[in-house]
Amino acid sequence: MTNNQNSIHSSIKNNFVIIFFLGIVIWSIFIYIALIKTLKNELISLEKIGATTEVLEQVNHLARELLSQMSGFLILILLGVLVLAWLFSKIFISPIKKFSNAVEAVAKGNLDTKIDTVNLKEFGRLADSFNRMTENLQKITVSRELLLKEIKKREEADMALKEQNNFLHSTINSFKYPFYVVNKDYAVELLNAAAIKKGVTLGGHCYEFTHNRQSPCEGETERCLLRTVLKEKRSVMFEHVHYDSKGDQSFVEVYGDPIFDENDNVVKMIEYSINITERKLAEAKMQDLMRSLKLKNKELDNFCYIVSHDLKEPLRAIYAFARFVETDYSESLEGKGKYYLERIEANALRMQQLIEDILEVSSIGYDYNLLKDVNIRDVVNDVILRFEYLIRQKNAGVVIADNLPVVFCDRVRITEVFANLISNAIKFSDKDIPYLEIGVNEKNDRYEFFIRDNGPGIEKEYFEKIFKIFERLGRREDYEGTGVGLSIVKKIIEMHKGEVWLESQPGKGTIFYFTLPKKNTQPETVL
Amino acid sequence: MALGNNTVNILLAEDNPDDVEITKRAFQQAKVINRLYIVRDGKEALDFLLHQGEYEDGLKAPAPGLILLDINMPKINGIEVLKTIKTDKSLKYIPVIMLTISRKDEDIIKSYGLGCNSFIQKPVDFDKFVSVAKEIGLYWGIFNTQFPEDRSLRK
Repeated sequence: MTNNQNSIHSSIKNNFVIIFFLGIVIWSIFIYIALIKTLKNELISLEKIGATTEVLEQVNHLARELLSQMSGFLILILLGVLVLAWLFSKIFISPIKKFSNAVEAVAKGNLDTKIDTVNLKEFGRLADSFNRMTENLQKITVSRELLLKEIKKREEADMALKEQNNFLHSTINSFKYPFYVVNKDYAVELLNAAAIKKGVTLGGHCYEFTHNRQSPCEGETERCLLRTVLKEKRSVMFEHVHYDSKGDQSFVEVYGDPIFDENDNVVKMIEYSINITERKLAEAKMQDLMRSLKLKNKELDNFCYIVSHDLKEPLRAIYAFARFVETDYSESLEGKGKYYLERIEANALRMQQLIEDILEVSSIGYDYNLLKDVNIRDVVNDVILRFEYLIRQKNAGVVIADNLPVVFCDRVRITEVFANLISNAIKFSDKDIPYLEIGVNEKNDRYEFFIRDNGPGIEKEYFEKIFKIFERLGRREDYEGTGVGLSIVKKIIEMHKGEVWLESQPGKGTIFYFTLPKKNTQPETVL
Repeated sequence: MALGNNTVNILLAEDNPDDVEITKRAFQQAKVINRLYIVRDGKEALDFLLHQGEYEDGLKAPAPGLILLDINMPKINGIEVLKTIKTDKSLKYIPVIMLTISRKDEDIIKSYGLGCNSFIQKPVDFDKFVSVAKEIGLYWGIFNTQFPEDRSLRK
């Protein structure tokens, strides 16, 4: 109802009294006029029948008195009506108006509306009922508002839950491998896309998908993940073999994580399996390779030994028998006989040395000596002692620096290196007094050892060549050795991750350098 | 055994006839006067020591005071012979020297593990071998005190 209509309605109601009052007035005026008209007619008729003027005046006078008295009554009635109307309005209209206003207010939503003092008992009861009604309405509205709030809260909670669920699903679907949750009865309650791809179904049992079984695994070959997690109440990882529906097997690393309830009992388990078939195959291949490598090395070892042994045996005989001839038949030997025998012997010895050297070169890298901190000063002293006879024989002078360090290395092999270089320096010296200096330069990350001699020197074009196996300078007879020494030195140093080189000029002597790293770097080991 | 007692017999087990000749000569040249008994392989060596087979009659096989074993022998090799010797209740007291041409760590470890008394590499150079023989004769034949001859002491 619009305000306008409202006001028209109320104004009509309000003015009902006025209309009623006007009605009475108009009706009264009609009666009055009718009466006057009747009187006039009567007077006229009276006149007609000859009534005297006094009679006529008296009748007029009576009539006028009657009329005024009637007017008086009329006014009284009118007043009475007014009073009545006022009373009526007060007793009936006003409460009704109040009711009407109150109802309007309630309709507008203002439930606080109350109707106060009304006069009549019935109206009072009505007012009470009305007030109770509005009270209840209020209560209902409050409840409704609370309800709406609750609903909103629930809806928000629902939304949050949905979001979390979404996040959860997105997260588990991002795992590349099958991820699912099983309950105590082995049934799957939650799973990710990768699991679905593998054929896992919601409500299905883990043993169906992992072992292609219809009942839980017995545990003869592998431990059951679920039972272990239930029992031990902790995360476990097993390496299992899984079988798919076709019976194809794959190797997996399967992880089981427990889900606890508020009493710390395991109620569910998270299962996540990583396919390691490729890795396992690679490992197996690697092991095979290692095995065959080890075997090959053993074979090579054997081969080297056999070769050395079987070559040396006849060599011994050759030398010995040549010797016997030389000794037993020296008188019968004419001309170059003795010389030839000596050549046989010398070559036999040389061959023996060759075999030893070849064995040594080929064995470096195949056996792994213990590495430790080695006092190089001691090593050099040992070597000098070893060649004491040679040094004295050649009248050599040796100077050893006093700052030789301790190096983490293979003692036996490094001794070889020094032995080789030192003996070379002495053997190949062309001076009456060979001079030898052994020292070290300390660098940031390595030690640079040097062995300087005053020998004949070496031409630059041979610098690289001499490290090659069997390469030698000068004629065979002039110098001993099979030419293997420096290649051994090179190999040993390189296996220690060092470098070896030389500086030399013919006539100006030679300096051999080699480096050994400071920090522990082990030589390469071949198994 | 008194010092200088030259009744210590030496048993040499060697399959290579050239090596036998060389060794014999080396000991001769080294003036080792101990009697050298030669057997040609591991089986013969055991027959000799245990008085079985062709050596059943113990007269041809007097107990040696020193045994030289070549490692590479056919049928039964030196290390197996060593094992038998060192586990035999009467033979285990005899010093055993292992002889080899080429050094093999595995052999060395096994031999010492089984209780050999010495391990010698035969040099190619004959003269060097002669001095080895001399040292052997000197050390094991003269300096070293043998186990008492009284067999009843052997348990």
